[in-house]
Amino acid sequence: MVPRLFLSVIFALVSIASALSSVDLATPHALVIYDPKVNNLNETESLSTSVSGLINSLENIYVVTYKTYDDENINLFYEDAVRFDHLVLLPSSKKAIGAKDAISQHKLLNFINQKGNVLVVGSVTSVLPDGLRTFLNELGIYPSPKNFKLIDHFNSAEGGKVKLSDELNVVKGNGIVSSIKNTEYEGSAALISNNEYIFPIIKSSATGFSAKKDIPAIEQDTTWTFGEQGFLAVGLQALNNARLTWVGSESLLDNEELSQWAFQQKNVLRLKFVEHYKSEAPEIRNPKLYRIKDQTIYAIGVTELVNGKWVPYEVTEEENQIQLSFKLLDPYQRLDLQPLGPIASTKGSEELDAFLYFANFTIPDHHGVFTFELNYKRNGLTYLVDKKVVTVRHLANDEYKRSWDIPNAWLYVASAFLVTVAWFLFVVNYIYVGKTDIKKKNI
Amino acid sequence: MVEKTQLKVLGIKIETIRLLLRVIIFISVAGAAISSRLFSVIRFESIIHEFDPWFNFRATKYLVTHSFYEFLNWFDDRTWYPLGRVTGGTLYPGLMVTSGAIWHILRDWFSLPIDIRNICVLLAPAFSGLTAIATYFLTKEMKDSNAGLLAAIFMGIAPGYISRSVAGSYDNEAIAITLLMATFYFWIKAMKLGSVFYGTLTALFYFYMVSAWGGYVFITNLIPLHVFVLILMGRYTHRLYTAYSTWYALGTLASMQIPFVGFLPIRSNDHMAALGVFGLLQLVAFGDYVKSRIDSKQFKTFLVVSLVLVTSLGIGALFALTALGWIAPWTGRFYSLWDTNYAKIHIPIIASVSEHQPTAWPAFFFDTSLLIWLFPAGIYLCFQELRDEHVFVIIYGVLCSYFAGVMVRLMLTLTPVICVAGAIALSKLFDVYLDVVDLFKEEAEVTEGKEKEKKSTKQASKLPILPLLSRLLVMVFFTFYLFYFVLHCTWVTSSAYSSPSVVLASKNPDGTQNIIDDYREAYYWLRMNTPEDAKVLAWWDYGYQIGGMADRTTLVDNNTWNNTHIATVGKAMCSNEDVAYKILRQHDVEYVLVIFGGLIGYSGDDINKFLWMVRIAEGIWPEEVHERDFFTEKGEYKVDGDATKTMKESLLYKMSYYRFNELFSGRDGTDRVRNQSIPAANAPELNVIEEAFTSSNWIVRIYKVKDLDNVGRDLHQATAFEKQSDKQKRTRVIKRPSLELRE
Repeated sequence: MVPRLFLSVIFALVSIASALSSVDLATPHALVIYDPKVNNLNETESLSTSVSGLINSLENIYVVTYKTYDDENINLFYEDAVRFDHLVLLPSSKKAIGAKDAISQHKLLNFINQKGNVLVVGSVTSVLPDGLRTFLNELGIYPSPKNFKLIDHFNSAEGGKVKLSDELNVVKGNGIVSSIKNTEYEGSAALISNNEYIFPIIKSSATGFSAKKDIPAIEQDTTWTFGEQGFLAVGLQALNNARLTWVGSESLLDNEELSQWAFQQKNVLRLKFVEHYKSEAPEIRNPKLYRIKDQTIYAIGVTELVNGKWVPYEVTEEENQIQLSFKLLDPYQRLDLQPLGPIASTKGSEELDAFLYFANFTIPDHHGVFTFELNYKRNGLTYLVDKKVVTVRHLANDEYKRSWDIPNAWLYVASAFLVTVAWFLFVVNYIYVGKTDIKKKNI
Repeated sequence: MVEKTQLKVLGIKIETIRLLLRVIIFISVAGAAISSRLFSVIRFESIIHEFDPWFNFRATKYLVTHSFYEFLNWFDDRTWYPLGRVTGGTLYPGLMVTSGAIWHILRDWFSLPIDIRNICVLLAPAFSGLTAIATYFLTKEMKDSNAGLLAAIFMGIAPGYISRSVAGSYDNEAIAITLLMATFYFWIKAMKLGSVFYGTLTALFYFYMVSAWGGYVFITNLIPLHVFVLILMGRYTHRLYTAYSTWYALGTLASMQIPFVGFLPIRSNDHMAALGVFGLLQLVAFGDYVKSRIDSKQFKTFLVVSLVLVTSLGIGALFALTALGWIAPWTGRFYSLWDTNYAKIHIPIIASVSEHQPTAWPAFFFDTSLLIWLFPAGIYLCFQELRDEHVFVIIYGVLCSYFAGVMVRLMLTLTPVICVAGAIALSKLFDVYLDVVDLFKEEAEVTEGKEKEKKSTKQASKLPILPLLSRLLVMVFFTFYLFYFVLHCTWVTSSAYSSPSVVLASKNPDGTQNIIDDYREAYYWLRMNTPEDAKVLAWWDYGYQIGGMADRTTLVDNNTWNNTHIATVGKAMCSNEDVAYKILRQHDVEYVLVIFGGLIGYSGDDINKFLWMVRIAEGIWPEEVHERDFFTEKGEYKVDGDATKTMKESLLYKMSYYRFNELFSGRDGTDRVRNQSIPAANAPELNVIEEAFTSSNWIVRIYKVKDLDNVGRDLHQATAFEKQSDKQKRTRVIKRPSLELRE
């Protein structure tokens, strides 16, 4: 009896724990770190519309935790696991912060490496805490220091602000922002490195530059960016699809796409399934072994998150085609996947939630270990990466054509047969026919 | 005469006793042969040795767990990644099929479920007993059964053969030598009798040999050469014709059934001698027939004309076909037999193998002891009699002496003929010196003839003391030599040839044995701690072992069929981290394994093999890899402070000496193999790989290849960032970075 009781207690505990954790995990957690001197989140009235808009949108979806930069009890991790899914870093007025170790460059990098998403908001008057600056620099984003601001004498607005326009300032093909909502900009700009995972979203115009405030002449030490090499909003999507967005001013937060993108609400793709099979044996899914010259079908289902719902993802532009490589060191085949149409990815479901793409091709006449490689990396979109390694074997000894099936071989088959017959006749002749002759002659 | 044959001792026929004795001798010879090969099992354990045996073992396991059909068509995706290897079509299946058959017989017929590993380990000793018996029959054909018995015991314990057939040395040679001897015996028999039956048996054993070892080419050339020499000596007979034609036709057809051999017998130059002699034999037979029908004058003209015609046609056809590519030209291994420098210049991969090096002279004595000086005497005795079969021994002896001088591993094929010739010489000596009967017989006749009266008393005094004494002296000496031979063989076997090389043994200061088991430790680590489909990059020497012991996919292995792929691995080892990382990523490598002996003084490590890697890589990428860059300005090969920049930046160097100084508490370390000191300053740093495992004596070091950086930095930067402390000095002034323009 005792063990049974014990077991049931454990079972009860486990179920309680799982219930608790399921509650915890259902809604993502977000952490907002702010400086009350810049944005006092406790007094909603004092906040700018941009910031309050952001806070509201966070509150709607996530369990939000607020901490000030002075707080010493900030911790992004519980043991080694991340505690938050999303991190918002609002401007700070001080370089020195309470929890130095909690938001050090290593912790922040680790946060991203564990799929945490980050939104960093800059401003002219704020300073970046050292850890955060080092971290951004490490990624290749170099925001201008305190009191540097973007100036554009050709496109200026009231109060020393810069007037942004969609034509001059939105980076083509960024896939996130197509038009700027708040066109009056007062904020900093950043330089970015050639890191291939970073992509600019909003840039400065050719006539814009960022320099220290209130300095009449441009000098080397007092300027930061020049022309189109200055960026106002930058996105980074890491290989594990964690996202980071840096914006130079809170006014850009009016473009909700930016924060939505950062928090994985927009431009999120997912592979519902990846399958390959021989066309002659479609019932065996993802076989490990192929034979040379087999006819193969490769199919994927891609789905996109739109307004919290998974819907089929259809490629519209020619240059965004999804491609498949069939590789052994080098690609032997590189094919555009053909769209087939929306399908229901789960069995028995009527809901069309994924878009099917496929390729139908012949495996090359070369044995080896091949990889079906899908490597779809487009700016702003989740990376779709998949590798399926299969073995392509040679023909077995009994899979070649038989000699009588090859017309060229008939000559040889016939000659072999003729030689055998001739030899037999010769032996008969030698033993029986020839002997009598000799005897006769001898007689 | 009739009475003599029915001589009886204790009521048993003398022939029966002889037979009984012979059987007892056979059993003891086999016993000696087998037991002297068990040193390795007793000293260490029942384990597969060295390199190639690990592949054979793995293939055997595949055979017994799959069907023969699957084995025959085996495409191995766990070696030569990502090329794979058509293993079923590129191996000699004889060995695996033999042990597979034994395993099935024991299990199905005798209900003895023996582990396949034990069968593999003990296969070579078991076959060595059969070799001894086959050698007996061969030598018996040369002289008599006395010589045969001597040859059998010599063959049983000669170190030259033991070196390749100790327990655990599960290699093709283990059964191939047995088959070699059997084939030769049946050939001699067939040639002597002109028998189709024995010719067929020769072909059958030849087929078995072809299925077991690439060295079958030796038979393919030796038998035709024998026939050719006999024809030149004017000893053509119909018996020879029958024997050779039977063997060649059947043997060639049979050998073509082995997938790895395929059409080689009619397309490769290595096999052309056999075909040529076959053709020649037909012509000679025809000439013989013509000769018997026409007078000698006409025949002479006929002979001259046809000889010129046939020779020019034959040579012309050979050249034309080779030029057209119908016949494969001689292989590199073959060229290196004639020109010992050929491999060094043209094929570094062949030259890099230690067993392809020329033999040192002491090795001959070491491997055969007294037989090496009995061998010429035996050959001399063969010349004295010079029957057809003696010609065979002479050719075999001369050819193999040369080959054994060129390549160490061919010592193996020389040993049998040394045993045969040595046995002939020794048995001749025994015949003369042991036979004291005629001494007494002469004496007796003399006494009978001269003085019939004085019988009993004077006979004793006229005992032939001097001849007896001289014989006794010779016998004592030779008994001593034979004793010494046995001692020598046992000593050589136990000290030199019984190490599995997977497990090393060393002596502690107090004389006890210390087992160094780093290889298995590391391979076991790989097996237990890495994903099942992990790809491991290591120099090709360790490919078979990683496949066999760690069961992980390798890029290259001891089946060196693709030089470019090996060169790729060599390039990864001798390039700097960035170049190497590209290669590692391209080949999906997850782990890199190096052998490092610098800590305990194990000289067969990768740094000592490094120049071969460089040379092989340079052969493919002469612009990128330069052997000269690895030598100092004085032309020395150094790993200490004077080592060149290329050397220090190479991946292999870094992997070998990474954290080496920590063992010397941060001071300069000492490499005990090269006796050079490794400076503590500028110790190697790794960026693209990280240390995963180092065995207890540092012989095997395994590194994990890092993934691409998650946020897109290069790995040098990422490593530097990892090392950066959180609490670095605060910079007051933030400076603008100098960046390249963003495209």
